[in-house]
Amino acid sequence: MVEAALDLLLSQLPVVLVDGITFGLQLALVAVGITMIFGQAQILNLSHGEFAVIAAITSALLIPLLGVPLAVLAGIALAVAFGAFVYKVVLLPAFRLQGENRILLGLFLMLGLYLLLHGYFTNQFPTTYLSIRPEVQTVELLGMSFRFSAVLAAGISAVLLALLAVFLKTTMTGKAIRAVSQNETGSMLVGITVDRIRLLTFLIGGALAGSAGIMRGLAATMGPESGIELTVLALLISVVGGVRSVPGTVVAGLMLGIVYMVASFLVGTYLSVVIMLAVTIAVLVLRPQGLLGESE
Amino acid sequence: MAAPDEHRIDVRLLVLAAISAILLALPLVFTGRYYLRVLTQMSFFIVFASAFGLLFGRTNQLFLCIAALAGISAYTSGLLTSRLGMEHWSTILLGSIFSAGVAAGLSYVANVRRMGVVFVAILTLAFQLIFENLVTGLVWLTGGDTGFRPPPLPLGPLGSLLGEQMSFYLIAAVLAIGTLFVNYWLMERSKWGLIMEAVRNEEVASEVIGINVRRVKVTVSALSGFMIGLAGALYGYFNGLISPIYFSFASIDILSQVMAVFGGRGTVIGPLIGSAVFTYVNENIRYLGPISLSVYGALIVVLFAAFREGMVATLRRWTRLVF
Amino acid sequence: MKAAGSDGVLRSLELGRGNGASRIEQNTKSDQPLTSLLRMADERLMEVRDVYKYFGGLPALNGVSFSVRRGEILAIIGPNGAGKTTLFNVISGVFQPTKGKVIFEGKDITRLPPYKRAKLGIARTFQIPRPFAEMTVLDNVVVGMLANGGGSVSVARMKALEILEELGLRDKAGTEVRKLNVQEKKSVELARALAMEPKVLLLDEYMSGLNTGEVERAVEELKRINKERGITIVWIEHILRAVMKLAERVIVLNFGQIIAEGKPSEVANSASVIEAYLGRGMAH
Repeated sequence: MVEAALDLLLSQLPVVLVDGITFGLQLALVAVGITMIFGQAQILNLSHGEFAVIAAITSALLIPLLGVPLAVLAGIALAVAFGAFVYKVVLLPAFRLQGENRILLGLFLMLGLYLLLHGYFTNQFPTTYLSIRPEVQTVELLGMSFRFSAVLAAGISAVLLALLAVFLKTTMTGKAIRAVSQNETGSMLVGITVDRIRLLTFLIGGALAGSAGIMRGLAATMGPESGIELTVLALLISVVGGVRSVPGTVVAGLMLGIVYMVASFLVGTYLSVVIMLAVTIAVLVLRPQGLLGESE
Repeated sequence: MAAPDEHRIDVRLLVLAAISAILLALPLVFTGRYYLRVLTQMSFFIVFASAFGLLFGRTNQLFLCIAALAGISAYTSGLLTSRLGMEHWSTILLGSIFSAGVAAGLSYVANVRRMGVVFVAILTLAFQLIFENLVTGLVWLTGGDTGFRPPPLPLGPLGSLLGEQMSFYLIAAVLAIGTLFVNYWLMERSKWGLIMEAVRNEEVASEVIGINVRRVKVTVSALSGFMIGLAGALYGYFNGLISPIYFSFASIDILSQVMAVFGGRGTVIGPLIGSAVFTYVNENIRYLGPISLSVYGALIVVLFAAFREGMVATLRRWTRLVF
Repeated sequence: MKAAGSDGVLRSLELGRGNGASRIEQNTKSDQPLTSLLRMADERLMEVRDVYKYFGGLPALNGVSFSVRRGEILAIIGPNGAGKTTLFNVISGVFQPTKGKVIFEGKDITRLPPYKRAKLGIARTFQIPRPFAEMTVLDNVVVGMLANGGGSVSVARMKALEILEELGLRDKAGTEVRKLNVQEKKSVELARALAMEPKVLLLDEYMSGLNTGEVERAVEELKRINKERGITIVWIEHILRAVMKLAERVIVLNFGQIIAEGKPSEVANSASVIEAYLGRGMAH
């Protein structure tokens, strides 16, 4: 029976790999936001996956009215606006504190926010799912046929991540973001207003997570209860990827995405989550400095 | 916290003794099956909230997997009794030791490279997710989503004398009282209280003055895991059903956190106050269904933003104002 | 403020050339011959052997070697960023050195965690004090005792009160440390370190921020700790006036290397030291 499963896996390997890459890039989209926000503001955003839920549910509700492109944009816009709300309103008490106290308060504020949103969405929209199905169903590549939506989702995610990397590397604002995450007082001295940079980080985080929610709806389905799973997986990826590096986060995302899809092909969804988390924890124990981080 | 003098220690012990007596006498006032059930529930949550409060309030370890630790013990004991026909109490002990080991292991891993409070939170939250998916996924063993019914706990002469419900309440209440006394000894009487407080305040300085910080954290985790395991296994038999829903983050962790923080984390009777208050609240918002989760979310935001010191500290300030 | 600081350095250097130096020579002469003989024959308490510490490729310590004699007061001076605090972190185990060894009482402790070094008898204070802020002054000291074995809570409490008495903190015993000022926090750290009954005390800028009178008092306090408790003191300090008065030996650190070592008077006259400090003055 095991041999049969392995045979099947081998024949389907490219398809499974593409699914893994697609999922991994979505996780990376969520994870870079978590990483940036923690780097900027020392806030561990446990409600980050809910940004994806907001975007997905909003678009799912609006698609019948506005059509896919506009509805998707509206969903992402709402996630971005929510990012601003979180930063400007919800987190206000946390920014009055410093150091570990801020980290703790921020963590609980975001945990509370997650519960609030999760309770609201699962209660209000229990059966609303985002599921975007393009008319083109498959693409032929190297003699194999792949699901077009999965390839498209992977492509868009990759482009977004590349844009982010270029933005952080080359623009003044991007450099400022990296400067703030390295040294708060130092950057205040060179005239960067920490407040604006932080706000920007929450906006970008909201946009990326929102896009991840849409991509999930494109590649699979995205419903109101998927938020926490995205959050936890993305949290692990940002730790595994090394706290400061976008490439590290992407590599970690791809690794976990592929592990998840292969495992899910072999043992089913529930146990594949277990396997993926176990792999992550093993990596964390063996390489606590992150995948691409240099050892001390 | 601040070195109590001999006189105050006696007062605290008296208070604890009075609380114990009240807990044991509660069923005389609140009679009937419903109340007994709610009181039993409260007693279990005193243990969960106290353990969370000890871990978080005294060692800065934010464990977000109280439910999983409780569940490990419940599933272990339940499976051993139902599948292998083993005797109940020894499997409860085994399950609790298992929970203690897992808690210690998580603490050890999280502290290998001093990654701080955030890392413990991420690791334990991931572990909670592992646990929930594992027991749901291993359908052939655990019954998956629907769970399984373990053979009922033999209550012996106690059961025939007082009935099943009352016996369960007394067992849970004694466990809660035991937890309170253990925490009292640990936090207020022994040198461990001061050492834990030092670790919570300043880890580097603690290490430099000769405290093995990692050992303190791992030991406290093991002890807390054991208490959670005991309560978890008994909670399983009390419910008569062991399924993922009883041991989910939403049903145990959130309540334990709210209770511990409301009462005052890192205090002895804070979690007790919190459990009493929020068992009552919980019974009254139960009808709301999933939206009650939102209520707890809002509550966590408000509690942490405005009421971080907790009830015990507030009461202390009030009494100081009065006297 | 920075300019005034380098002025101060210059003045103290001059002071070292003049009165201060001669007074120290007198002190050495008045030592009894037997004690000085014993001192010379005395074993090394601690040795730092060729220690390097890099942070992301940048050297903070660049091959530092020296030894500490039992019972001496050794001062470590040098401009900011010279690697002094890094050196303390390597000795107390907060950092592992990139290369090199730390020997304590003949035993290689380079790989030991901080708490084990504490139990061997190494105590330290921090440049920016790290007391247990939400605990009382008394409990800070008590925990220093309890962490190293030391009997019951009540016995530890009595001993701790004696230490507080000695350091003039007795009336603050019940105060939470976060309510104290920086100087008092430093004293609490010293009291906590003394409660460990250490063999060597590493003090990181214990006197910065004190006025002239307070420096005098602090010098007397450290002298007493050294003589009466027999605790060896290794001491990072910027206030050279105090160094001239108290230290028996001075090591000058610059860019992670020892550039001078000797009696305070000798070191104060050394060209490289003056250059290091002048260079620092000019840089600002």
